[in-house]
Amino acid sequence: MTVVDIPLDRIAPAPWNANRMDEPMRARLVASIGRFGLVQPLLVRRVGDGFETVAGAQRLAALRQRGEATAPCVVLEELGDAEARLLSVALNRIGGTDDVNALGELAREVLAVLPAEAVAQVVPLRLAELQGLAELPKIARGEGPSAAATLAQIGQAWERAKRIALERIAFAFTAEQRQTVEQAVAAALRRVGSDDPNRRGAALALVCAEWLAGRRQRVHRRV
Amino acid sequence: MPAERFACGVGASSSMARIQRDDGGASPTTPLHIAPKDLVIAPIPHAVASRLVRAHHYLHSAPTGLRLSLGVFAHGALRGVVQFNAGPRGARSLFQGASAAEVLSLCRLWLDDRLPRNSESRVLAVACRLLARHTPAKAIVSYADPGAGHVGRIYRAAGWLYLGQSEPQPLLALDDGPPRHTRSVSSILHTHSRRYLERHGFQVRLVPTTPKLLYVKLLDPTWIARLRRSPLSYPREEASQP
Repeated sequence: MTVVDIPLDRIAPAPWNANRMDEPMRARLVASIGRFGLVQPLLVRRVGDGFETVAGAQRLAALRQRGEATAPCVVLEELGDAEARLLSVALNRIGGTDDVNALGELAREVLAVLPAEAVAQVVPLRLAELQGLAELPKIARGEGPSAAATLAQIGQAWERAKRIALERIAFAFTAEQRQTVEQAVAAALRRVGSDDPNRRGAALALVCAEWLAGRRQRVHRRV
Repeated sequence: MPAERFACGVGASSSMARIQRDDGGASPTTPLHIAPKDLVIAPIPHAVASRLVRAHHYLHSAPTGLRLSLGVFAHGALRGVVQFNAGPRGARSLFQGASAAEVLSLCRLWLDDRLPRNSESRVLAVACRLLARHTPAKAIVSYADPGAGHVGRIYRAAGWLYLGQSEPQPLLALDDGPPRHTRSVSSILHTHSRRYLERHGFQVRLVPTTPKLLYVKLLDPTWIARLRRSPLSYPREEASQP
């Protein structure tokens, strides 16, 4: 199998490609290519004077986003339309699943040498999930705090939350009503201390208190 | 491991039968050779537990409002999870004067099919013991969904109290969308009022659901006095239910 460098302007993504990638995943792909380079060549076939991707449309888009000029490619010389589509789906869809324990061990080893934020830029895992997975081998080996100590800590957190809980009231507004409320809250926010952890709630309470006081005055004047 | 351990009731290690997973897992798998002392339960990060739940639990969705995730370990590998959250509003109100810290809802339980058959009951028993000893929790509620073929056998085996059926709440289907729980409609539109939605142009279809079977485990036996419902005898199982 020969890998050749082909200018990006001679490669087109297959219009029939069914594989889609959202922006966060594309950002990871771009970050991964930035970190490691393109280590997996694109798979392309000849179409007219140029080439069409069979596998690698997303990598092609990421390379363009990075401003690269060429891509390493494997060229499939004789591949019919149906075969190209079949191979594309097969390459995109045949895959395995993660073993959570192996993934935990892997996360632990990687996070031991690389900062978590940098790792999260490349792998499709949330930071909390990545850090949680990295903790797993330690828990499985029974290292660290005991289950009893962890549970006691969790229980204390529940109690603490109960003591300091702010009460939530849910209101539903139309867009127009919401704008009115937001304007009133924004105006009242200037008079709420910056150290108040519930500034918006306090501002709304201030608006309501002033409205009630005004109403009392109006009633008083009428009497 | 300093976590509590439990003994399995059957000698799984002597069994060489191969089992096929319910979800059609491609190949029959060999049961794990587990000595009773090998199963260990310990708290694990929610993100890890939810990952397993999304992949393997029949609902394939991670619950919200999580309070506690416990991992079930065999031979030092994670083989199952139990998750608790605050549950629906009605859960706490089953008890007089209960706080949110005192009543938990068992919202997900998934164990690897290769664990011995009675592992669920054993795992629940140990989880309850851990909660009773080390947290302020006094009771756990759980809802078995007969619509999904669940009648709560594991709760019965573990001696949980049966409190009857929950009020069935129909699902809402907006326009040609899928039926959704009223809570998820509310979390998107901040209302599930049928009149309001219809007034604003939605076609609302009510999809009836079956009532859930409500089970309770008292971690503090004195809390029986706080129960607002009287425990009932377990309902008879239909022949077709697994």
